[in-house]
Amino acid sequence: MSTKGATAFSLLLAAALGTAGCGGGGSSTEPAPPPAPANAKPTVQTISDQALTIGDTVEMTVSVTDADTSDTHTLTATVSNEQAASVSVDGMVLTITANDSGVATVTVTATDSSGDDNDTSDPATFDVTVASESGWVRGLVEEASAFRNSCAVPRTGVDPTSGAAYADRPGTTRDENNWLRSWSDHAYLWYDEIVDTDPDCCDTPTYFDLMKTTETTPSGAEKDRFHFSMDTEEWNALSQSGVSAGYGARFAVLASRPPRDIRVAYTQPDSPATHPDAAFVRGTKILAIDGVNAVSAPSRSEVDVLNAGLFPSELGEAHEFTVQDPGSDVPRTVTLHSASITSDPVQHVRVIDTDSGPVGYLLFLDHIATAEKRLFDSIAELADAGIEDLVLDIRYNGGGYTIIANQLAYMIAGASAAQGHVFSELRFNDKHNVFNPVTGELLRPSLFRTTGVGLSVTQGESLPTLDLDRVFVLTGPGTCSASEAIVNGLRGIDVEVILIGETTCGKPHGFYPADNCGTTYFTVQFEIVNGTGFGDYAGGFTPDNAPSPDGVPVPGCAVGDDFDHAFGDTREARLGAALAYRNDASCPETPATAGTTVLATAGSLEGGPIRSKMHGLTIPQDVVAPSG
Amino acid sequence: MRATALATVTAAACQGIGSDDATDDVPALLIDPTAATTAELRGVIETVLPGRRILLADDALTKSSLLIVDRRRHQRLEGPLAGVADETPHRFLLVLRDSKPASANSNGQTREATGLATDGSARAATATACELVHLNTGKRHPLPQTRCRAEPRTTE
Repeated sequence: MSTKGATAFSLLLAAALGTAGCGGGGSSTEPAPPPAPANAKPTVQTISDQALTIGDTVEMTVSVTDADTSDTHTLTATVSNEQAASVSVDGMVLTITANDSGVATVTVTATDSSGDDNDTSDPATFDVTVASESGWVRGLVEEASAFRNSCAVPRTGVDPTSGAAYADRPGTTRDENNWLRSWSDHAYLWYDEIVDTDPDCCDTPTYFDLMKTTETTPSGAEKDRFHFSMDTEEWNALSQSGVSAGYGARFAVLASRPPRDIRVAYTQPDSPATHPDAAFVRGTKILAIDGVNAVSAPSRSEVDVLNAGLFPSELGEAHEFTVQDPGSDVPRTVTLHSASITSDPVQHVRVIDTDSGPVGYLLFLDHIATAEKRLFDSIAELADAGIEDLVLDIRYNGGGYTIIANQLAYMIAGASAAQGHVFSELRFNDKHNVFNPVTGELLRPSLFRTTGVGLSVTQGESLPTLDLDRVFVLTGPGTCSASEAIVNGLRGIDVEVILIGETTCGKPHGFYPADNCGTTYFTVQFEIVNGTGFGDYAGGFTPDNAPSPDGVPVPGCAVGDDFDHAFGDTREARLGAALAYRNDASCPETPATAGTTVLATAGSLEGGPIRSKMHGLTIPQDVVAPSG
Repeated sequence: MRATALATVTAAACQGIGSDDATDDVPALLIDPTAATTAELRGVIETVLPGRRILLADDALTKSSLLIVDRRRHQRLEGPLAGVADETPHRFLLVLRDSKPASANSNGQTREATGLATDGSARAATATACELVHLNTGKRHPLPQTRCRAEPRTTE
């Protein structure tokens, strides 16, 4: 937030306060008079700051002193922010009118009238602070601590996160909005792009929506796509790592805005999704949920219904899905009941033997705590196999613990390339170049992690490495956040990344969730950069042969998702394209884009590229259920 | 877990997770969990983490002696709610009670203790009492209704 500087204006009114006296006549025989004394400079006496409310008018008499007591004076007044206040001069009286919320600085000078050598005083300044009826002053922001825990509806009882009583105290919606305003001004990455708004304007959810940049990217997308809040109790809910309420189906959101395209990416055996009544398969398209059109529904409330159905928060929830199976034109409707689902973050690891050496394939789905051990074991297995290249499949990996991204990048690159080098670094807004504004810690880069951190691998245990100087990464719009940090971190130490798939989600930003009065707020606070200082990939990373690359171009191939083949199947479009590219740096003839029918480049198990196109979506016979 | 949740990126913040001081505990697995033993397990965890809703798998601690509890994942159509995180998860280790034939580190990986393998093998086949160790604090919580067996030794 910043005070908009208005064009300064000035008013000049002469105010003759007296007439200079004249000396008496003299005789011509008298000696020549001494030279006239120099004109004394007038002084404008100190004027106190003014605190006004919009619409107020105040008159004040300005006092000017001058050694030349007979001098008259003319006042001049200018104001720095005419939007906030205006000023007029009448003689020695200033009239100040409070126009709008804000702070203006008034500068006053006095000029005497001594004749040819009129002199002007040094300027005297004072501030005019104009508040709204609610006390809001545009551009004037108090510390967030002044409003924290002042709640319209204070919570009572014990705060489970601290074990102590809730710190809430009686307050107002205005207080909660003021906290949001102050907190955003302090820590929001683009704080100076927020349009400062009276906290009395609206309810707190509405106000929070205003506490973000309104800027757009060159492609017209919202600059900030990650601004949200949720109930604190829900945010604080815990689960066994990898366990969630769900159906055993992973949904791939190929297009999150209308016309949406939501597919079943894969299913887990013996889950509600694979129960004969549901029979979801990879590629099943979601048409409606609980009566809301999943493809075209535009409103926020309808999206909430879709989210609630796709991602149930509790066990035993029932939701009605209308779906269309691959190869079928006939929609069908089923009811799914959410159950406890345990997901394996590393569901597929294999070694593909090719004429030019073994190639590893690793399907990595979630940066959760259990992934540390699963990746450790998987990389060790691939290292033992002596792979010469790795295809890392993170097309559906939306992020999580970035320390795991850091470890995986290290395990790919190895000690000689990564040890001692910077994996990532956080950059906050320009108010915080030295210390983290939330933790207070000194800002310092994160080096590549060479050992276990104790999530599920023994702390300090050396990580296995592949020592590769390039990696093939399979991506899509679901590749987000910590997953993108792998790509960026490796590029930062000159490991060649070859991107096969679609543009990643574009989230080089992060935040510290903040709780206030029972709501947890998420607002972008920092950018994540790699060892070269690069973090400008809010448009995602894009294979450089994409028809309309809208992200950071990375060498590779644009290839649509392939719902016809299982993960790790060399006929699967993206894996096949990676193997083909590995052979001759070629890409499929027609780059595919999100949501299109699969255009597959298949390779044989032996690695010899076999080029063919597959049209339409059919139920695959060889879909391998996720392991684990 | 800190009162103010972090869902951020700093790798450094993950340093120091847990402790790898070896203990003499024998990592264990639940035998034939029932509604009563599940409730007991849940009750212990809720004692450690009061007021927090916790989702556990039906087969928790039957395949691994290590139980990691962290913030529930939230998803939405528009993208990840918290795409990066650095919070320290809560880690619990199920161990046999009052028996120390082998050692286990904080990740549940067992190190065979010299001269005690026979005792450990014997216990592996025997249902016995067990307790849950909160590795973040070292506090131990008995599970009087639950019966366990030693977890098969893993290779380090």
